Amino acid sequence: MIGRRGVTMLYYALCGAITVAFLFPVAWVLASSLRPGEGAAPPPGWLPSMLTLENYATLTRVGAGLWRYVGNSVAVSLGSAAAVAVIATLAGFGFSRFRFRGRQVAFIVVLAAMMVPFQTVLTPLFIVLRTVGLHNTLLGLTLVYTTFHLPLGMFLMLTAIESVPRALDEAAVIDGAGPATLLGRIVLPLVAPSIVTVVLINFIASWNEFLGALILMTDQSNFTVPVMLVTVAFGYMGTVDWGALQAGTVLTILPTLALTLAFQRYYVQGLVAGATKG
Amino acid sequence: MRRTLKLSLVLSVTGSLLAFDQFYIITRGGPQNGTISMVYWIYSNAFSSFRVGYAAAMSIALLALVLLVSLGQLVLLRDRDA
Repeated sequence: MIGRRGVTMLYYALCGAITVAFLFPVAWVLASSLRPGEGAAPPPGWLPSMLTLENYATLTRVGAGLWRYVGNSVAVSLGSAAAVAVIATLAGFGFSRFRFRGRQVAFIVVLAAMMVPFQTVLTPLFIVLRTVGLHNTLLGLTLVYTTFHLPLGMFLMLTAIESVPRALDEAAVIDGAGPATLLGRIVLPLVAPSIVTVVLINFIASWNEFLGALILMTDQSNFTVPVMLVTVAFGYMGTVDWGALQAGTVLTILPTLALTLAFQRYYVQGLVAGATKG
Repeated sequence: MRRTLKLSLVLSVTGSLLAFDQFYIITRGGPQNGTISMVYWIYSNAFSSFRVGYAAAMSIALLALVLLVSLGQLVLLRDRDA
């Protein structure tokens, strides 16, 4: 018979084992990225006997240079995250606080974009973008991400704004506030955690997105980081620089990790906002 | 927990049905198309063989399939007492 202490210890042992299982691949990638020369190639070794940053240096010489791709990724991710945050907040406010003809229909149309999987509209999407001359441009990719990430963002913002008590609105209106003041000075400060969440979710989703970027970007200089890494992985002339690949993987993990850690508190707060509303 | 389970089940099953990245990056669908996924097949038809119409038709079929599977799960996991 194991006592309460035994149960607690078992619980922590289990949690520890799961943590190790999840962190192991990351640790392995980090270790191989620091291994010199052929050491990073499979079959995998364990701890590197010698540490080097040469793999990271190689990465800056791939294609148009690493920074070009990082810049592309940052521009697309930040652009779409900012656009989604602004549009979702405005739309959420509108859907929450105004009753207008066609409100239900408009809401369902926006949500429909969430129900249709991105993968199934690939071909038509490519054709549409080519027709309007936006394929192979960063702006085009930003707009595509914005469109497909908007429904979730709007949904989150709507639930957050719904949870702001109407009494606050009424008090502000009595004091002479119009809709703009209402949004800017009453609602916005209260839903700030949700806005952070929406920005974060969209930044990370756009940063990691692969299929859309692969299809829409045909010029190597327009690639985002994931697409660039895959071209590294498939190698030139059949040779694969595993060290550089691992180094690139580490670099793509860093921004999302830093952002998530920095805003973790808001993140959780924002996701559960409105969750308790009956 | 039925509703939470329902949501995560539907999301993860549709996510897996629509998988592409892993297949493309790890195996490129090979050997001999042995590890190809539905989205990969659509992708290679549209953007490698340029059979765009065929690919678009398959996209619709895939959408119908995903819809069917999701509906099936929702029916199986419906609230009995509601």
